Amino acid sequence: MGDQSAFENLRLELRRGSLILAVLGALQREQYGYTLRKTLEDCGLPVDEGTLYPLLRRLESQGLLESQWREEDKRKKRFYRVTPAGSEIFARLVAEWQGIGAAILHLNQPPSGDSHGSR
Amino acid sequence: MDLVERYIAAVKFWLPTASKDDIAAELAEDIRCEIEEAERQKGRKLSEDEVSDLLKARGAPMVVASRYLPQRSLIGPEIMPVYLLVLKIVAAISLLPLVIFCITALFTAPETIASHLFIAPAGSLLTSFAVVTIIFAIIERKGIIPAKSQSWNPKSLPSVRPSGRIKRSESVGDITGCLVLLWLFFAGYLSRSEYWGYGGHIVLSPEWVPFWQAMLALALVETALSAINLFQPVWTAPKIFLRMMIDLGKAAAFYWLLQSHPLRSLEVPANASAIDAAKLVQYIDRLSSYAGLLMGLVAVIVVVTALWRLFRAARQHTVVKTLAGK
Repeated sequence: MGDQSAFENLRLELRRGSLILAVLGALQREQYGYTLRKTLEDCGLPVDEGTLYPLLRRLESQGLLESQWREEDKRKKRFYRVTPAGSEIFARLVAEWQGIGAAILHLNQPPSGDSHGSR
Repeated sequence: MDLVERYIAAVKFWLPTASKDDIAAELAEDIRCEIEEAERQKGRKLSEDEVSDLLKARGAPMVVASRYLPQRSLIGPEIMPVYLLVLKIVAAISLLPLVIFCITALFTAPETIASHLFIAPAGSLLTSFAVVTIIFAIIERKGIIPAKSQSWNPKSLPSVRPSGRIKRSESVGDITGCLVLLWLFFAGYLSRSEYWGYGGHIVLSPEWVPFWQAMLALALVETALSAINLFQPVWTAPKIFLRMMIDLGKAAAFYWLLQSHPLRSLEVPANASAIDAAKLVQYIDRLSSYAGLLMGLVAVIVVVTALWRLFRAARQHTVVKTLAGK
């Protein structure tokens, strides 16, 4: 039970950072909040609205996203998309994320035969 | 839809004025989309209970609104350790007058202690807590300590003092005290039980003379121990035991003295009428009636201190052995 709870907390922490990348990636194409949630969910990254909307506002206040209220199907919806500055930062973050992934994979490789740390 | 409107209104209540309409409109749209999708899947309108469940899953209005607000704290994690330390110090200081009052009242008016024991400290503790919290909230808001922590210098950190080490100042203080006692004794000030001077006259119990002789003997042993501590400033089991026996010996001597009606009479000069001699004798006698309790308390403190020193010495020994790899 304790292990499961610790795992859940760590998983949430891990996802929190990755979620920014996912949102910036998904908003290369303009979307409104609900469709963005569905896109992320379909890609295996379900996110609740209580996390997503405040994140969208934060990224917008940082100038990485821009939004616009527009009418669609006779209803007003707020559409988001990445700004040029957001695209640039997204590219740098992806490179950083790939570097972290590669480092973690490298650290998880089984030790070679002449390992100093062998028991 | 009535439920959704009520939910949105409740969320809006907790949102900042500048952005509440914008957030509420987006939230309402998101809820509508979710309801529409659920209705599409079921092929019918959602019942009020189903809408209620859907809203419940989103969270209470205040919780939902809080996610849109910037994270704020009255006292942040950076200054929290200092805040707690200051609170402890201030709590101790604000309780000091009460302790002094209780000790004084024990001999003058014990019946007043109970009435002062809870009301006065609660008031002063609450005031101290409020004042310290307000000051730290201002520090947090102004960002004073984080700015200061940017300019810290590792060279200004205090040196590490090995735990269990006896302070040299402590040993020097003990030796000085013993030498003063020796001087007073051999100068003849402590070998009588009656004193005259400045128009006054004090008569003590005859037990004072053997009491000072016992204290002198203990002082000689203490001087020897302090002299050793000066050159070998580490507690060892024999030294801890000896220190404990000296302190217990002093407590026993005091107990014995207090039993002897130590202040027999006091005559003060005519021009010093402010001192009520009879009352002073009465206070000393009242103190004597608590001698067992007081000295028992002192003995407990002495033994606990010795056990604590023993524990720390044993721990230090273990650490040294571990570091030496034995």
